[in-house]
Amino acid sequence: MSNPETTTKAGPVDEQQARRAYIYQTLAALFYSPAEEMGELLENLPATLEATYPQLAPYAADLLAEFKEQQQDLTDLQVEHARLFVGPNTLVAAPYGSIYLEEGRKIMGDTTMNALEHYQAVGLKASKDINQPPDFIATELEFMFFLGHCYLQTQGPEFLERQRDFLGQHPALWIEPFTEKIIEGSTAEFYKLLAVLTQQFIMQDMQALQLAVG
Amino acid sequence: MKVSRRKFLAGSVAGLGALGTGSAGLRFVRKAEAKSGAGEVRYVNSSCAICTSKCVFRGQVVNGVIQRLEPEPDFPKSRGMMCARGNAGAWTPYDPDRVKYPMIRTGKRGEGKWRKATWEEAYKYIADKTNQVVEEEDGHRSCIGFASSEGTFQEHYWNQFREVFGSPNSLRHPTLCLSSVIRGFQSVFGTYPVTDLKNARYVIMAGANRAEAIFTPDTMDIFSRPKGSYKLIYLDPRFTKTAAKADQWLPIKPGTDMAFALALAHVIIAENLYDRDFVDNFCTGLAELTEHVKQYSPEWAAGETGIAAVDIRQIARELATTPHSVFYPGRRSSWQGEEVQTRRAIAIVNALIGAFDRPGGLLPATNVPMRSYFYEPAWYSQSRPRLESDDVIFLNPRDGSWVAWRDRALKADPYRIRGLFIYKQNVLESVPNRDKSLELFDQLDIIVCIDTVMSETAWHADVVLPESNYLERFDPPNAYGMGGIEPTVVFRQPLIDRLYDTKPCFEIVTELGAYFEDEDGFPLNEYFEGTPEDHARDALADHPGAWEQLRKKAFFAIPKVEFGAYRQDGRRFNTATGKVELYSEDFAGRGLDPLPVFRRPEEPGDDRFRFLVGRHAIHTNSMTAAFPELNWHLPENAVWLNPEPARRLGIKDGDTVRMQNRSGGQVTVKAKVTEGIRPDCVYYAPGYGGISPGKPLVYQRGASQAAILESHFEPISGNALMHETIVEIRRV
Repeated sequence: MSNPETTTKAGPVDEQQARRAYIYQTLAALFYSPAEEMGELLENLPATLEATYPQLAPYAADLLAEFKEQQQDLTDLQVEHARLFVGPNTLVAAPYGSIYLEEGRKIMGDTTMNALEHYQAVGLKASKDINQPPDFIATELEFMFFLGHCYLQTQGPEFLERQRDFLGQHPALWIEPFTEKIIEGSTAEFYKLLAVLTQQFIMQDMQALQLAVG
Repeated sequence: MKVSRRKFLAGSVAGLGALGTGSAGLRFVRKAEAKSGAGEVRYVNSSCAICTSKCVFRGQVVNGVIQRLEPEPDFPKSRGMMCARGNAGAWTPYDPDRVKYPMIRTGKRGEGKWRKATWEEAYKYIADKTNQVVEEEDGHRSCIGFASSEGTFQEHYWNQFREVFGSPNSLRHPTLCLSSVIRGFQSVFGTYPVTDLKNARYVIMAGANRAEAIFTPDTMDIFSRPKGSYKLIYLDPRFTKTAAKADQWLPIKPGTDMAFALALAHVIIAENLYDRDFVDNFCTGLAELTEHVKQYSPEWAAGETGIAAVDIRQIARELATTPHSVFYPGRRSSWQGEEVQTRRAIAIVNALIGAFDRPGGLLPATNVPMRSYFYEPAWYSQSRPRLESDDVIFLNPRDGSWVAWRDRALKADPYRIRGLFIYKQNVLESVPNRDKSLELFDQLDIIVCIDTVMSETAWHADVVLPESNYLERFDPPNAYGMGGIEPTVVFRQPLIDRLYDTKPCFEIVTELGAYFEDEDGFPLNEYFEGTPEDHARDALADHPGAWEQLRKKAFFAIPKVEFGAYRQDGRRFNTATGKVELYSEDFAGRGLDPLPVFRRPEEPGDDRFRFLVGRHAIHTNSMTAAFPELNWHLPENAVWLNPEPARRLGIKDGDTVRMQNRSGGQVTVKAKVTEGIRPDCVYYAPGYGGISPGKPLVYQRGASQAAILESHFEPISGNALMHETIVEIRRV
């Protein structure tokens, strides 16, 4: 559905939107605990970025190469993922917006609730399976994918506006301090690359959305 | 290729700044707050878990997020109070560093390499290792120790798991706390009583720092009263907040409270000031006691305690002649020397003045009667007694004796311990001599820890299982510590949905049980029936309306106890003779002193100090020092040192010092030079000097009590002795 190859009869604008949605979906998945399936998702990322924001494509190519170089069982990457985002140590880079947007190192703040309001405005509800705070990085990126998907389905311009508003009020606001912590604190090239790519992509996409929507 | 990519990355990171600051030019990038006024506000009552008082609060929940925990005005035990620590607990579910998922260690123990696991993976890992070591020990399940902590309201499920698993080696908190005061008072009154401080007119507290070691209702009852309505005599080598509130502070020499109490008994008997009615009708052993305390004059006690004889004599007279007077029993009594006998001496003074079953005196704790939680026992043919069963005379089989047990486990004497299953207890911070505990950890094949935060102990475990936070949990009714003049039960209900992938203890032990079998091949999970809610309804089935009241208020109380029930002709006390035993035949029969005999404590020696532990007003032992709102008040602890030795040792306030005990334990900590401590003692607050990176605010900041405490315990109740550590101090 999100793969640009499957989007038929789409004009160039739609193709660009489909690629953006796909990139968000992929980036979201990469912030979960590493699993074999990530390899498949990553395969298309360099080419998609090449067609979307070409200067970011080398990061994706390196990310894919880095993933392929991992040991078969991915244990090292899983351990590093836990150290960065899960614990049980003090999180190197807590993956929650409120940590960066509010005073005090705390989750579930006012900005978290605002993220939830964005989700609720389009009829989404919190999933009981994840039980993560609504401003979890992967959730916010998935929401961007969801809005992109809605746009492709309906062609409704409000879904571009919603993307612009949400990105501007949430991920674009905290992606820098968050990813800088990963770049400073991670011992894995994979996560440093993911951090740079995510940061650059969000900033570029923010500018693109502003130009597109106004 | 790897090198070139790193170079590329380094270059691009440096270039990020331009884009980053560029975000200011993005018109739509701005912070958004949640809409105000549109919130759904709910109030949910539940019970606090930040200390042992278990106060009931009204939790304010806005749009599913806890905003604050307010006091519940109707809750009798707290007198409608909610303290700063309890308030600070509202942060705990939202601590970004809490334990979120089951974690399995992948590196060396304590190295900090973990992977996120599913519950099934974690259970299987635990069961495989455990079943293997049990097999290696010829089926002796006693090779696994089980530690747990009071206050979760689910500890009985943990005990049940241990019992059906088949290990006798249970380790709970009392022998790090109050087992000696319980034993001392029981040997005299047949009960460990509560104190009616609300009506007491004259109170002696010896080391019971009620202004900082908050315990409800006692703290509220005494300190909320107007000055002049009572007199408080406070004995402590340290000028605590209670000392500040007292009418008289006596910086007693540590380890000599018994001498003080015996001298009180001496004066009260010699001057015929004892309560003749109570002693004649309800006590036994006055003749022996009279003879025994002749040697313990105030003049003699002055030499031992450092308190002037004239003060002791005056206090004895005031205590005996002021109506509604009491010598407060206190709670933590893991101090020094012969703790049980010291508590006996204090209990005897209370008996002499008749401070029992009358306003302002002691009263057996009455509990709300509840139906007990029933489960089938499991039977094993391979069984061994507890590891330390020969070390302690009155060993509580469920509590054990922590220090004695740990020291035996280290020597595999008389058998080998292969694993430790720990529920919430922070063993590495609460058991004296952390080096020894770590040494034991090194010897173990499997360490499992259930906790809500990454305690020092969890950090050194193999598997960490995340328990749901107390504000997310349903906990069955609890009466422990809630008995008294106003008997109450409390329970917990969730204020919010569980975050992440955590479970309450009952679910964890039930699910883990499926991976173990008893001797007949019966899976252990089948021993666990129903749900905590079913158990809660069953427990209160004899009290119509109690369940509904719990759901609404989170507590249920029965009518207040009236005084006088014990002062009836023919009423037996819960002792061997049925009397209040000033002289203990039971102790004599066991080869113990039937009356408390004072033995002088060891002198620390020149430029050596006795290390004291004790509460800080805003902290609950090692639990709360890393709470941001509380840590703000005291980011780091410091060792209290009297100016006189400080001058001699060239130590100034704020200097960094190294302390070393006699068994090689060392800490480095800042000095706080203060008149508020005797020249022969030192002290620092609990909770600092952590060794878990999961508690960032106290990780390697300040000093840990467990790191400097030597390994001592007393053999009557098995209580640890935490004031038997002698240290040297040098400026670094």
